[in-house]
Amino acid sequence: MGYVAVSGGSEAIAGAEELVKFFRLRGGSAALAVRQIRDQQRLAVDKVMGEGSLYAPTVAALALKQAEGDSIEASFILRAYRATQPRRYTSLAVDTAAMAIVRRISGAFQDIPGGQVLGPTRDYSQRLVDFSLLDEKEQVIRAFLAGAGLDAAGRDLPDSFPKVVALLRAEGLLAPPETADRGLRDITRESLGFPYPRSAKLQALARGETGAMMALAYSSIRGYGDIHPYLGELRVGYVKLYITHPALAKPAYVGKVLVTEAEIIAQYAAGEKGATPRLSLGYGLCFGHNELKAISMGILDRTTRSKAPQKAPAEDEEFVLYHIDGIEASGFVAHWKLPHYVTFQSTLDRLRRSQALKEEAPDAEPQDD
Amino acid sequence: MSVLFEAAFNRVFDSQNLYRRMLDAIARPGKVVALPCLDICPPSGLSVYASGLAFTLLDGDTSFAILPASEPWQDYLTVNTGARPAAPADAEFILLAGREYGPQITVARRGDLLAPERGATIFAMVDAIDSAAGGGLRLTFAGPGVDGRAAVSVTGLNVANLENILSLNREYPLGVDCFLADRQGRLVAMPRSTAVQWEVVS
Amino acid sequence: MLNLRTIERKHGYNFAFLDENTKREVRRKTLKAVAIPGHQVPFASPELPIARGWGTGGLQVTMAIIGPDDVLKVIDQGCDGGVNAVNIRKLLVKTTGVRTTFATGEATIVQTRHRIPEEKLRADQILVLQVPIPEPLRFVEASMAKTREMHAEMDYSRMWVFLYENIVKWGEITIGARYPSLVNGRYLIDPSPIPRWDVPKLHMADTLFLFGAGREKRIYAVPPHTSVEPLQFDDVPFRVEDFAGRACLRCGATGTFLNEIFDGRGGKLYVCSDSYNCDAVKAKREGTTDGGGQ
Repeated sequence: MGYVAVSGGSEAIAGAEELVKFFRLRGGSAALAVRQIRDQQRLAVDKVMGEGSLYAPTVAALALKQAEGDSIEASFILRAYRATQPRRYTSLAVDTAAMAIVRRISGAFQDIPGGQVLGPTRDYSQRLVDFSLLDEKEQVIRAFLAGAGLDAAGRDLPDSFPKVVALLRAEGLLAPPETADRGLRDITRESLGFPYPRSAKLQALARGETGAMMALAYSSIRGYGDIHPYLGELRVGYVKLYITHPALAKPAYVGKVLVTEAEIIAQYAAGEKGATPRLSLGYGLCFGHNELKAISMGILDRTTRSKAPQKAPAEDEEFVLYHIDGIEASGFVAHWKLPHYVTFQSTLDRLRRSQALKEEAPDAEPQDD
Repeated sequence: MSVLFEAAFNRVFDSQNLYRRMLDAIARPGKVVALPCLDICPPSGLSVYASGLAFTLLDGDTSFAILPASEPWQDYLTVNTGARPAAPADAEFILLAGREYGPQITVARRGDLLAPERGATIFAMVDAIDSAAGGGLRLTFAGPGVDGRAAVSVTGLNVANLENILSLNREYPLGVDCFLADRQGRLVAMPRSTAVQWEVVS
Repeated sequence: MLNLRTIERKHGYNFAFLDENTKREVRRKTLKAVAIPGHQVPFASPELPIARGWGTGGLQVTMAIIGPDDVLKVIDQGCDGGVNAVNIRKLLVKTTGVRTTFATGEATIVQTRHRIPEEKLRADQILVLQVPIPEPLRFVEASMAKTREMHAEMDYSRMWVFLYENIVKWGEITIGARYPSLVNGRYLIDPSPIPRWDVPKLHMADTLFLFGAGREKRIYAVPPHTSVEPLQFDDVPFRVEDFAGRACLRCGATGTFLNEIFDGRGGKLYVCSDSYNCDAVKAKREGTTDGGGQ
């Protein structure tokens, strides 16, 4: 008989957990070291830190191992872990001009003060399967690392680079930064109404899911509410974080984080009546090295400020911010796996009633959907 | 000035216990709920029970005001909850000494139609609460949570304070939600959704 | 560098998992929800180790109210043994150590998804409902910013038009579960995906009902002795699901919400959705003690 047993759920869950472990290990290869994931799957780790909204490379790598490489699952694990951690301090605002650059390019200008720094990128490599990686010999790796001298190359870079957008601003081509909404709101401590305060909006974008943000940004640049973006500057590098403490005379250095920053120069607007037309800026910044996300964020930061009466999806702030969170979206999409017997029964009851009414009065349906 | 940090108040379990009684009270306006004894020593005039309510709900994310203003009480609550003192018009929580006339209660937050929940929560300290008829004020409640009608007698609540609170609640869903706590640990809630009739009984 | 040893603690969590700041926020918001029956109160809703959409709102409410002396019952689709109910119960037991029960009458807190137990709940019990979509107006308006304004102005005209058009098109209102209902004559609520069968149980009850929507970050409440009226027209009244002439195959009960199941031979069988109630009725009929407890 098909009756759902009252007990048995516990055994089923325990069995499923065993099987997950079994499927992860049954290949018989050596267990993945978390350090290997942290070092050699660094872009996956960075993505998980960004979407999990916690800068913790080791825990993120561990979450990836635990989730068998499923980045949304790993981000969820990290986010849930984050929610249990106390929030004791708020770091001081970071000046990204002082970023220790790993990579820095501009799509808007050929030559930028300080120069373009290509850094580690696959942008200009052909996407051919590299069969040589099938069997990387340890001594080859060691010889490569010993002879590359790549660590030294970074040391020649200056401590800070001027910002491309600062040049545009100095010339009056770019709108000055808005100073009205500088307060800091924490979206993990309060639920906000729309329009979001700026700090809240940037937080929501910074923890958004890369793929979802990319799709929405893509819809905009294809023409659904295009803002005609240029990549003013893209930076990847380390920034130093400081906090203040009542016991300390000056701000205390607490560590550095790797971030990706994108400054999107967008369409100029007429501005207020009689005001000079100026370019506008969209800002993207996320943990780790994740260029697609930073660029998408910069585009969405700008599109969602649209005042168009008929908004395209990427221009609708509520639409964008409610749908880019990977943890929320994945949870709800997956929740249809849960039993819905009762609601389905209720739907069947209505359908049968509608069918019966239709049979009684076959002409009583004046319209279609 | 030294202010006592109440280490004996268990922030996990005492809070939970108190909270459930507050929840019971606000779900059933007019029901007289007994609060547990607390091992705390608030400054003179501030009741143990009103302090307990504050310890339960206040923290660094919230603000409060005291009417009439009292520096020792304010310091005590700040030290023990981390909440920020604020002007009565801005405070999320208002601690009201019920017997004293606190005209500033009229500026308390009532929320707006988009966010009526931003209306203030008031902890009113009174002398005694009794479900049986007695002296002082006889309050009769009706509305959500009340099975028909419920009546309580309250002493130590200035009529002007009561009138001011009720006038804050004239435009439902805007308004304030009030917990009355007496000196014996009896609690009654009077949320904005409650229709209140009152008379002075001698 | 993070010290992994500090991460490896398995039970290093606070009582009822949430930290006290988070609990206090849920508590403050829950009080406001009770004070303004049916109004959706936003709350911060941090992530839990259970996925969004799988009961995190109900869980946060339960975690904020539960104490060591509570007796907990968790059901999903009316059933104590469903895998999701088991998972939620496990997390709560692991972090609180409270006693659990299947017996509805023994519980002080019942956390539920999609059902209200058949047995009448008492004043000393609290029912916590898990809510996927807290917004009843979602049927007619997707934007939360706009629905908030509609609630502010008590402008439910589009909902009425929707129901009217439903009748014109289908002869009756086609909403199965999640039936929009007016609380205390002021706020329209989504009573969570309980069947219409359960909606009348909210009306003038002895029990406090708390609704938690974790992903959508909203808490709302129906206090006891509060009117809850499903929207209906004079000539097209609200109707619960029709199980006329059917009885539960297991316990023989009529007058309970039934799930229909296929018997494998092209026919259909009906069994109670409320598994504890079914066990209790069956035990009573067979003259044994009731089948509650674990």
